Amino acid sequence: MSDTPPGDTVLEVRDLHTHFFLRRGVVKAVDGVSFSLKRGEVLGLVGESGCGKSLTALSLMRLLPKGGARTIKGEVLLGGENILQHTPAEMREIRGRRISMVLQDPQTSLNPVFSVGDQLREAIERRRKGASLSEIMKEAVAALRRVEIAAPEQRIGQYPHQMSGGMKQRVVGAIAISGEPEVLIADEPTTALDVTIQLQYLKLLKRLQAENGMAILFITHDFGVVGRMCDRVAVMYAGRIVECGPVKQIFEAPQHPYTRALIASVPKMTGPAGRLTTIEGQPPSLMDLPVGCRFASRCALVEQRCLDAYPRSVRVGDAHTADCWKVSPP
Amino acid sequence: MSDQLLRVEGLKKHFAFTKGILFSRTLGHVKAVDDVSFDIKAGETLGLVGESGCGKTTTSRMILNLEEPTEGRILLEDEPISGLQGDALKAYRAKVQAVFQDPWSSLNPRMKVGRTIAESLIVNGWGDKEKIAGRVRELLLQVGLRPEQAEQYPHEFSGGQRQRVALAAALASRPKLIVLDEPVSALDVSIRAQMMNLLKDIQAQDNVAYLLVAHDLATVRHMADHTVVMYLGKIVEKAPTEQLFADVRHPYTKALFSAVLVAWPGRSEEEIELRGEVPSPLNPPAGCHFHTRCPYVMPRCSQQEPALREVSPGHAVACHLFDNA
Amino acid sequence: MAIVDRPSRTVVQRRWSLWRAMVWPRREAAPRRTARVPWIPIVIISVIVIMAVFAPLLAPHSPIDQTLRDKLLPPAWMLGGKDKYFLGTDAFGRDILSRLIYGARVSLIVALLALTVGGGVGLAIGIVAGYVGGAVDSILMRLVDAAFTFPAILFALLLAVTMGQGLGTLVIAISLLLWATFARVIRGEVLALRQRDFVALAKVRGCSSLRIMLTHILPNVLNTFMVLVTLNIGVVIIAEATLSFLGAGIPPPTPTWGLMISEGRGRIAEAWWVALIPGIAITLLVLSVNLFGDWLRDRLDPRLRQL
Repeated sequence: MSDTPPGDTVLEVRDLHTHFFLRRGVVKAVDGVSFSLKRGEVLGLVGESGCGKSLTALSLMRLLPKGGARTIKGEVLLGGENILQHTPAEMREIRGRRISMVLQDPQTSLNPVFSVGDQLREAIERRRKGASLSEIMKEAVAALRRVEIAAPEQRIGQYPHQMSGGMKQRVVGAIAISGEPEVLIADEPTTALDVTIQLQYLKLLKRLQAENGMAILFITHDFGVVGRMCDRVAVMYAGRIVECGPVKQIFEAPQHPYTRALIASVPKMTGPAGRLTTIEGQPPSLMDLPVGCRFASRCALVEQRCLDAYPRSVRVGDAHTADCWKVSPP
Repeated sequence: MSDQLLRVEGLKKHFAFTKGILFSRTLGHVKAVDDVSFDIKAGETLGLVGESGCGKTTTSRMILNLEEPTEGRILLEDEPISGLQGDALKAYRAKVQAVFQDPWSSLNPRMKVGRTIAESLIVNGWGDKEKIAGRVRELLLQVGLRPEQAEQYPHEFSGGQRQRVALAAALASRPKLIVLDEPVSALDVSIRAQMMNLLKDIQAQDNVAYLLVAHDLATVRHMADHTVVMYLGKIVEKAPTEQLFADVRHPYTKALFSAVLVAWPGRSEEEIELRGEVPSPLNPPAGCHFHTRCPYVMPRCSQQEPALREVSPGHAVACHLFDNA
Repeated sequence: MAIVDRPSRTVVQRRWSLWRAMVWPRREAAPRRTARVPWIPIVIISVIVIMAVFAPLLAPHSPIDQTLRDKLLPPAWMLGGKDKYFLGTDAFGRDILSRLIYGARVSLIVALLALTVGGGVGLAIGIVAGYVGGAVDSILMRLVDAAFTFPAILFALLLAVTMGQGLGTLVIAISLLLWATFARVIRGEVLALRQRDFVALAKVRGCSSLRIMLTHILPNVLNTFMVLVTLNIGVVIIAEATLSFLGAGIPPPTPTWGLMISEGRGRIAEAWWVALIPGIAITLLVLSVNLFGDWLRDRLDPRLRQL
């Protein structure tokens, strides 16, 4: 269990830059991302594919893909310590213990040749060095029970292929929280699941969070999931967070034109079922980013200063900021 | 001739679950689709909703004549499609086209997109080279691409653009019906809205009917005139879309509605969280297939299978809760 | 070709590719872990190909004419060697360098023919088995299994006895050795391709099975086919040498590298160069071709291409 009292910042990311250095040029996939995460809070990181949200998560874990990706600037403060300066050995201690991760595809998250129990044991042994096998197995069963898997004593000996997608994702969750992390990064954990199973999983995550007060960074492209899960949302576009604020405010009064357009383009379950609002054009190439606002080329409100300089971050409300020239402080 | 473009009557598809290759023996049957009936009018959209394994994709594949039904009939303009051969099959293919979910898999990476779009015209001997090239240009414009993009290969397109190419290819032979199997679920939110608008515009221009296979109720609400909800191979509810969204009856449909994560925090409606998972279609529960997960289960549900019956004009439900309605 | 509007895939790297230019452009670029271009093997292969093509211009002597007076002369740089015969002469006084140059011709012609016939048959069978599936697939694959257990060299000897020695016999024998490998690998590729949506969509558009196999499946397995061809050139050259050595290949006096080894083997103690020089040539060529093939496979093989 974390020692930090509730409401305290457990993770702070400052001006994070992660770029891909390729022969053709530099892909600025994460280019100046800052946010903070409080204990017991769920922060949604929303954006379309290629906006850099998954790479942000991997940068936090320091698990960048091989092939030229490097974090070149910024700080990731976990409990006040900048983990970007940790040695690989120190990082291994942090992963799984203090920051954990659940990925999108439960199929590839589990090793098909080991039983569920073996994979849980590996995670538990790290935390409880020297514990006897029976103690560890008891804990593994308890871990499965916590993620509400029926008949955990039988499930523990089973292999991933004997389980459904939803069940596997629960096991992945059980492994991720077995180290009782302070921060859980969930990267699209329900995208591969059916809708009714997705609801079960989200509710489970909420219950687990209420139990141990971990902070969750929830990465998704689905505003429905955000509305259900998150306390705050950060909207990412072309490598930067363009707007960040409490969920209710973002939904009811989005300030950044991109957020507004994105929310308007989601098909609704209520209201008129007419034409949807669309965002014309494409995001800029991450290799050749404009000097000004990155959304300028698609923005209806664009004017000269948007093209000339990147907008300053405007505080539009309580803990609500937006990077836009057209937004003025209240 | 009835005003129905496509009629599906008592459609069943049972897959044999076998062991061995040359001398195989059957171990059991998966009833992927079990007694499904619905109609589509010309120029209308029917939404087919359900979770994975409910049989919606198998149904669409039978309509596309990619799978042979075990039982039941599919009629296009009152002509049954079973046993179509040669020219009759070609004529059917020209009338019924498809767009699939995965834009990365639906285009041949080694074929110029213009050639992909022209394929059905070439196969049908629709005209000479010049005429076909003209039609391809017209189609590219219709789906919002540039005519000169016909000369490009799929890897030069984004996901959304590929899906537009796939749509252009489907439209080439001026079909009466297009099966849209999750056409937008692989696309980003903003691109998704573009594609949905485009599909609606094309329907308005060409009077083409759509069979929209989807798992997302919000998409279906925006696109479909009628909606059919399936669970484990059977239809559990079917109604005009507006009516369905105003008055959900079947407990499973209600659960689906609860599970749709409305992009609005703090809703206060009744919420049904289903327990457990979808049972194996190899061994579905007796009686009503849904009774193992249903919050309103009654003793009757595990013994007797509910029939699909009308609860109000055009709105049919298969549930014992409405036996006396 | 410009990359148009590919926001979500900007990270994918595209590189110049010899085979893209030669065959077809491909959806994804080569993997990032590509090894360095194998220049030395490419130079060796080029030299041998040039030797084969321009043999009459390059060879200093006739490969067949015997000069018994000059028999078993060592290479020029050794004691007793003559400048006239740079790599020495064999037991009949024939120039080894000239025989080597002409022998490259035979080796490459045999490789080309056998790979066209054997590879082509394997390609066709692989596509049909993979696409049609069912009983056809089962039967064809059992044939492939049978071919793998088949003693190809023995069969080739049998063929040589019944049909007589010659290029035709050699090509048939080596093709029998090759087709099964091709068929098995190509079938695996096709099984995966068949699941792709564009194949189902082609059917929906009214394409016949034959058309789908030719326009949709075939172009997508050509990369794999090319890799198989390069990886098997070495196999063919060794098979040709082996069969010629055993006397089931091209009849003498036409020079082939295998035959040259065979002829020199009796005098390996006193005139090692007669057998050793063609042996070195075979080793160099096969090694170069394999290194080149490995590199090509790393670049094009779909299992490495993922990511």
